[in-house]
Amino acid sequence: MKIMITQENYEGWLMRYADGALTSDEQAEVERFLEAHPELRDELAEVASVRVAPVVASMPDKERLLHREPVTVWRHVAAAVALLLVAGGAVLLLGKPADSPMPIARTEVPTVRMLPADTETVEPAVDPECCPQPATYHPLKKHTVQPSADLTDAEEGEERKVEHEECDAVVAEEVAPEPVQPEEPALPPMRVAVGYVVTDARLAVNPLYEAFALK
Amino acid sequence: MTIAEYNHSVRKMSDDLYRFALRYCGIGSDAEDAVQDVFVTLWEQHERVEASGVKGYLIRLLYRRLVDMHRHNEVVRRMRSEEIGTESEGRRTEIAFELHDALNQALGQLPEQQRALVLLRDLEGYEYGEMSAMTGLSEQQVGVYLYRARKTLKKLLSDYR
Repeated sequence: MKIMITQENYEGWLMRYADGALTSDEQAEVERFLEAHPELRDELAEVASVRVAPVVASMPDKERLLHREPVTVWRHVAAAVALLLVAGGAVLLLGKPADSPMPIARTEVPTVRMLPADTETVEPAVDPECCPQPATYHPLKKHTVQPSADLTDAEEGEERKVEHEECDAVVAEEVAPEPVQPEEPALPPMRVAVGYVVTDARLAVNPLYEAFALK
Repeated sequence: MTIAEYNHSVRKMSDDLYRFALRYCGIGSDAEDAVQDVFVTLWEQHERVEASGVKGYLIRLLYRRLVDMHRHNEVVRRMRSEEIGTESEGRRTEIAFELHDALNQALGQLPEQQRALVLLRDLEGYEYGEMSAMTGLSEQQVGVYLYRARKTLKKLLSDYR
């Protein structure tokens, strides 16, 4: 293809010539053109000397553009397990009205222990067995009896005795009007206990998130 | 690209992009916004973008973003001047450059396309083929714009001295 460099289009050719963006044929053509127009040599030299220097500046606060990088698998697993434990614990604690068998509730809230070990809800099947007198049966029994669920199997025998003693106590108590009281003070400590679990779990998870933190 | 590669490109490229944008628009906050927009888009697309081609991808995004901003500002400026009715037709845009060095003042007086090309060439080292693909101009047209841009810059900088 014949190259035609003219007074109208020379700028593009000269610029590409100065920038080394031409083929050897094109370069030769530009050089022929410059020989015919020597006044353009000075102009080209001037134009080619202009270069924009980079400004000295840096992107402000570029950390905000970063994203969390993935962590190793075991950390995912650990985080997932921790979250499941927290969620499970919270559900269990919230699901029980009071005196939850969760050890955390007991250790953190001593008031729960002070309650008669009786605020536990009773499984319906147990009630008629341990309190066989239909005449004295009363709905209030729900709030009584039954040792807490965390007794071990080894304590089974004692547990039975306790049940019976307590059953007796219940029957006796039924004459007295209001054994419901103990349940009330149990609630606030429960909330404290739940709050503690969540806070504690966050502390447990936090180090992982610190590991995520971007430098 | 992975998240780590994305973060690497932020650390490696954001300053270059910011300098380019700052030279282009002359206003720090606009340059910052443009670069941030570019990385937001990259983040949205990072799974589809190859790490090897991320530099070109970012420059193309930034260029488009800056051109859009420029056009938007032009429209606003025209609307304002029509309201005021003082600005004469064809008067060159005076860009409110915050950088008061002579070069940026001169760059601010170039037509937008010339300014973009001279920055792509000088700051990013783009070849004619790349500039042609990015702007939709022929390589010959790119050469013409670059030649005129440099000629104007030379004159303005000489006047300044």
